Amino acid sequence: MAMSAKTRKLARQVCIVGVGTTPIGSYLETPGIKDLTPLEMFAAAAHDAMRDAGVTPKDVDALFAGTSMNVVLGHEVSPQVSMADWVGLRGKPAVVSEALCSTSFYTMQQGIMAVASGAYEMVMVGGQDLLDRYTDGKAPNHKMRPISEFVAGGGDILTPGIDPQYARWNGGAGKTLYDEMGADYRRLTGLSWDQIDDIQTAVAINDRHNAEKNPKAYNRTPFEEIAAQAGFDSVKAYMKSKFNPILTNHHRLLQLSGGGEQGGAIILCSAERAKDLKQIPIEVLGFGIATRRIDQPRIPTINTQESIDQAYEMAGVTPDEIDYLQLTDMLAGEHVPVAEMVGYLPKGEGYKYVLDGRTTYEGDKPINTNGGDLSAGHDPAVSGLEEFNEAVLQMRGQAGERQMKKVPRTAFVRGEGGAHTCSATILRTLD
Amino acid sequence: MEPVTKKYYEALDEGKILGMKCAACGAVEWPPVPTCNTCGGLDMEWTEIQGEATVGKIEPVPPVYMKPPFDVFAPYFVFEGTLAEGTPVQSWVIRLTPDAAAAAAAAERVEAGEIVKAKAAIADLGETRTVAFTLEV
Repeated sequence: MAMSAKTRKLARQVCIVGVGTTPIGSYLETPGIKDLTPLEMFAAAAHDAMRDAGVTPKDVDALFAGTSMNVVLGHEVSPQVSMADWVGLRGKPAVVSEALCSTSFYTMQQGIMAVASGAYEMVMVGGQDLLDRYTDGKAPNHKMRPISEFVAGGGDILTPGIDPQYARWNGGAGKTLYDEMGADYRRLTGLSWDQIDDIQTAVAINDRHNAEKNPKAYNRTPFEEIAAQAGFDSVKAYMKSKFNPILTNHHRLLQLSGGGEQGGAIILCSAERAKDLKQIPIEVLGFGIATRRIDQPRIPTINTQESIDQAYEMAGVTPDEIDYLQLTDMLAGEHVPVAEMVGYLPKGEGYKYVLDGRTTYEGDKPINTNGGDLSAGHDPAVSGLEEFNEAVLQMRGQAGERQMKKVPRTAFVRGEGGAHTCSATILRTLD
Repeated sequence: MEPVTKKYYEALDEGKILGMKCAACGAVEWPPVPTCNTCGGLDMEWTEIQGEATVGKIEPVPPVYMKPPFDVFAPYFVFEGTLAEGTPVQSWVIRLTPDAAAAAAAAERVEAGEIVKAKAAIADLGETRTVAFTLEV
């Protein structure tokens, strides 16, 4: 067994006052990020975040940077130095943190604590990463090329391993992780695997439905269109067909995130300062984080639950107060169990909400209005900033065509990276 | 945002050295970055660097660091100085002369406070091009 961290109320109020994200996609073709290096994607997002907040680099005291795969694929150490330099923060404190896909949830917590402590009045949290390109360090970064051009057969050799002491060598760690939460949920509900498959497909369909209204989403072609092109009358039949093969034990192709690259940045400051700025301040009430080695049993569930409990404890909020839930769903099987652990959907009943489409942006219990990791896309170290970005836009009433009917006042943002680190954050519109 | 790195290196291939100039205060960032570190301005425009620099300090690079691809410059010095555009220049290669005595003499002139000028030139490192300065004597 292990102990969960104890959390306490923040020493002073901290607010999100600026958000910026690039489109999610491929540097080879996606408009808005085509030909950009990961650093340039971050710089673009940082400009957007500062403009969104109505501040300049002179107002920002420090940078809390995040990157993950970049350390290996980008052949780079200390990327936070270039990141600060490129966004006008030359000379100011800058650090980088890494926790795979939990990276930017963790850098957010660092930024929040830096302002809550009183040490800094305003900070930037920023992320850059890369997924399917590589450099051997012998040419500038704009010459990065697909991994397959360097290593025949793809990128496995270049993928950094977690825990080179034990987990990398025990032959099992991580290999069945993807299906664990779905298996737990099947036991909890007594449903069949076929029904779990339907639920996971419904998650993918709802995410895609939301993504259709998000111009920055990587995958937003309606499933109806994709199914029709393959000669299917119904999306459900297409989803069960050979075009949507089972890739893990229990997840099909379209029940897994297709990845993507993105830059992201967020501006945080004290509540006093936030009141003078142009956007509706979104206060961070509480957060939680739990970390375990990847070969420890049941880490997705235990880390998720502990981080949720910590966040509620720090925030002094109860689950019934949550109006919006943004969660990492790199795999569809984690979507419903997490929504139930948060207490946003009732225990053992959450799947019905998903099957009935009540979790889309038009529904009464919206989740992942941006399209989630499944459709909006998923950059390892930036996905958290994308999640915060979406929650903040909803809370400000600025989510455009995918705006929820009732503007949420309290939102829950859940993060997960490699399952070894799970995080939770509770946001509320400042009174 | 348009690609900065790609545009900079492709311009070197075409014989041009590009920087970025702040629309607000006029400060020039070289090598180019898309934000002004002088005033915090977010609006920058491309500008061609003329390549004139005033040398403030010259340091020889120890032979132990003269590894590929930079061995093409060996023996070489680095310098600190200021571009004619006002931008500080740090740690860029300056090719003096293979003649160690002449190089040392140049370094001494700078040390003595004499105004010594350098001129930017585009050098080919094989996988990429970069800027290396030469001393104007």
